[in-house]
Amino acid sequence: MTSASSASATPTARRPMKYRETRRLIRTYSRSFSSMVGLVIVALFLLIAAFGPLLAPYPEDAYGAVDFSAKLLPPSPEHWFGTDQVGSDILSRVLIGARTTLQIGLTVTGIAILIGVPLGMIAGMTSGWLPEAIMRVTDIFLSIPGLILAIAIVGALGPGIGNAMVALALVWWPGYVRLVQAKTLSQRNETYVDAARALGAGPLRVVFVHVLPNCLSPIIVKASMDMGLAILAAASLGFLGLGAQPPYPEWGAMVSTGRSYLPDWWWCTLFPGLAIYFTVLGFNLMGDGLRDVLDPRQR
Amino acid sequence: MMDSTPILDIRDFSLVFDTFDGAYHAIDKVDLSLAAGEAVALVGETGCGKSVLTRAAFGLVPSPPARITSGSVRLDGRELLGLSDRELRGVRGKDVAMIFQDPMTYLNPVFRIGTQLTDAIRAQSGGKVKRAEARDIALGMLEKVHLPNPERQFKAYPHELSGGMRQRILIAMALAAKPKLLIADEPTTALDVTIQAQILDLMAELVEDMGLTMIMISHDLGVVAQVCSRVAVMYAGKIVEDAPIGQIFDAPAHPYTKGLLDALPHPFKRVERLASIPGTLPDLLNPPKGCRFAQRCASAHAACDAPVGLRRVAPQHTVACTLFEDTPMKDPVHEH
Amino acid sequence: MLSIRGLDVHFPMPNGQVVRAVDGVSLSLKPGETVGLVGESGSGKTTVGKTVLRLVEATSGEIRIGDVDVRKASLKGLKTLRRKAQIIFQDPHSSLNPRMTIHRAVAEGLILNTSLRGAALHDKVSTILESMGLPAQFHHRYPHELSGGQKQRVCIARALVLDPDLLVLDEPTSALDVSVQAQILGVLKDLRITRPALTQLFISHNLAVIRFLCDRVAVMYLGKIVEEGPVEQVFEDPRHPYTRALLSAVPVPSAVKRPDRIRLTGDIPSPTDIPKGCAFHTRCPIAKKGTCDTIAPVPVALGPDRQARCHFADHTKGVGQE
Repeated sequence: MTSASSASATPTARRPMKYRETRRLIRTYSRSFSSMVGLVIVALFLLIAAFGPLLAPYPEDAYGAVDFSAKLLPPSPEHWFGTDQVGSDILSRVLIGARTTLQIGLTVTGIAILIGVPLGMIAGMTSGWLPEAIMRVTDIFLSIPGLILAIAIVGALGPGIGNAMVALALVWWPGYVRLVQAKTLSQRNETYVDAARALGAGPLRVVFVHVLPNCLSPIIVKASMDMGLAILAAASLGFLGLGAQPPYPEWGAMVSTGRSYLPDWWWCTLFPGLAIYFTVLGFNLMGDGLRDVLDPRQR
Repeated sequence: MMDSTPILDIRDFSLVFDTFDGAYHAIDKVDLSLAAGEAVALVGETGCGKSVLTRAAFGLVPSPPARITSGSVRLDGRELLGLSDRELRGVRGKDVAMIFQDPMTYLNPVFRIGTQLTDAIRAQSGGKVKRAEARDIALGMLEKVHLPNPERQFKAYPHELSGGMRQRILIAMALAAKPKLLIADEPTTALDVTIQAQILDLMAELVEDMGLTMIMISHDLGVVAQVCSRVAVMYAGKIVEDAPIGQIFDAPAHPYTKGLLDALPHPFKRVERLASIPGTLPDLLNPPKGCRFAQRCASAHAACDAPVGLRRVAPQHTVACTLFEDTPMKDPVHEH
Repeated sequence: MLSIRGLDVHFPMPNGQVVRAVDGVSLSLKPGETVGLVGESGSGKTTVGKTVLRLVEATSGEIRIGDVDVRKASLKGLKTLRRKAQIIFQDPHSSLNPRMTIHRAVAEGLILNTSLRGAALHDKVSTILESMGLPAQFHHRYPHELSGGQKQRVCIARALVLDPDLLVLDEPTSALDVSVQAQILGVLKDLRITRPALTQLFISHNLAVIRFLCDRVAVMYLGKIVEEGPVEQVFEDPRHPYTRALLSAVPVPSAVKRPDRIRLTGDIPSPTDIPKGCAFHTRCPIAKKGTCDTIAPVPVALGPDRQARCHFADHTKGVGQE
């Protein structure tokens, strides 16, 4: 029929359909000021995580170099963020600590997704006792405050950055199960799933080709927010002395050690604290922005 | 038959939506007026602007993104454009009532029907009506809309009722305040055929017996035929034809109206082929300067590139098409 | 081509009630025939369609497509069945995967059921899309970039590309505008000529559309077929009071009031609680106490291919017309 109409008037502009869609998404995202602030913070954070050791003025200070002659110096041109109780440059430790923080965020959300998404898909697509069992276990996990459970797990495994990440990942996955199960349930009833079955698609194909791609948006949104939250949780564990151990350059642990020097030597806590604050804020703002773009109905 | 001061008088009404890609010209210079006791159908396909027009006229389309760029809306002589939100809410509660396609969306699932009805009646009166009095009014209304067992349904929750019953209740709620105008937006589209027939009978009865003034929005010319006396056909944000119902069916003038009628399959006639209107709606971000239907029109010619207004072809029958000459005639509705 | 015998589909509800969606339906379609299945909500017409393709499992009864017993088919049997029988749904938007281009969506069936790949696959998909009136510039778009009518064309192409013998159409034009509906009906009517062997089961609540497209019609009410016969005969001389009421409720684009109006009172009963005797007796204008509310009527043959499930089917000629 003649449905071509006006849209085809510009045949050259039509072809790269994918890019057009992406451009629209970018435009929507960039219209929001706070989303852009989030994006800038996150980009800055990633750059620091990548090049921290090169940027740091005293890289050796990050790994326990001790110089008592320079301890607890206030911020100055030599030490922008001041020095701590063993004379290490706080700026260097914050810059190099970014990589640890990124590692924590990626590991925790990564493991949580690897566990949560498949379980959520199974719970959403099948019926019988299995999804029941998955959802009840999820409920049990969700009913216990995550951080408390993580503390208990680290308590059992012994303090340390590796164990802290494992513990956090173990309490983090149930959120993904809930999200993916709900999304899968709604997708399962969409007619296109019936249509795929009528065309002869088997259950695995239905899941991987049809359902999963349509669940991606909320997973991406949640993951970007969880990056911030996981970093905050890891910092809390570090602060409680259950995560990274000093002198390992981890922001939470730095705040924790610096706490004993408050209020006179405030820079020991302020700068790592601000680093945590801005990173978490950045990921949250970015997550909000992504949600508005990818999943406008979830608002 | 017709009063000289119309109940609703929309003149030169234009509205755009501001989008990323520019201004979307949803409604363009629409004139529509209703005399007291008149039931007019606003008919058109998806995207023609029929719902937007009736909602925007009473301040129900959020701005931004919508922007009214010209025109006036007078309800019983009172100009509505420019009223504050508060004043418009008063107009909507009392003078104009609306019913919609899906009645469930407009009933609160956690309150009993009776509570919702009496509350609505008391709110419409500004709290002057006492609870017991409101209850009597409500029961009276339920009887008027022929709801079986009104006393019993009074205690029911919305989900316990069928779609047809819910639509009756919404009609009762809408009419309880004795509004000057009822707007019914696709009131039967979600209903089954036999239930739709019942609701249409009811609406026809209300128009005849209560002297209800009504705009009925529909995509189905068959549905409005039973209730309305006049039809305004909308296409791409413009009214293209406005005529008494008989003339729309027997002597449609605009090629789009003809196309719509020829596209309908008929249950009681053997039809071998349906005429279909080729093409799609014009891009309203960049609307054609002339007739918006010209692109798809078999009778289009050079003159169609120039803007075309409504031309009178018979008393009370106007059409926006260059195929017709304007013949000035005395017509009380369109004169001031 | 398609034969359904004694089909029951019951859904147990969590509260112990049973929805008797389909109750003893028998229907057979000859090759190349288009049969309409008409009814209101709760009539079970859609469930029949889905059961035929085994998208819903039947409770009892027999369904045969050609020589395949649908209910007993193994996984492999189902695979051949998928090629033989295809379905088109009401809402073209939700029946297309939003993350697949339409070209990919149409190719899906061929990838699953044939060994066609590469350029041959690409060409076959392009050809069928073009034959459905979708020019090449649309083929690599996503569903949300298409209009409703265009999306329904894609769905029809997706079903036809497998060369099925049977096509189930579940309200394929209900979600579309009148002028677009006319286009799609045109496409479907053309299939009668271009694919004369294709058998179609056309499910709809719209009697006018059925009249336009079908050879025969079966009217369903609360899970049962109440009347069946050639379209002309059923529409011109309906013998079941429900058919009569349904026809008189159809809105007709004409300003002339129809003289033969029959209005049913009350609502359609819930399929969890189907009235005893004749399921229609609660709304029937000619129901007789003691008969209709106790004895379930059996189909009465009224001629070749023609039957009605009413105690008074032999006498209803002209009855109820005021």
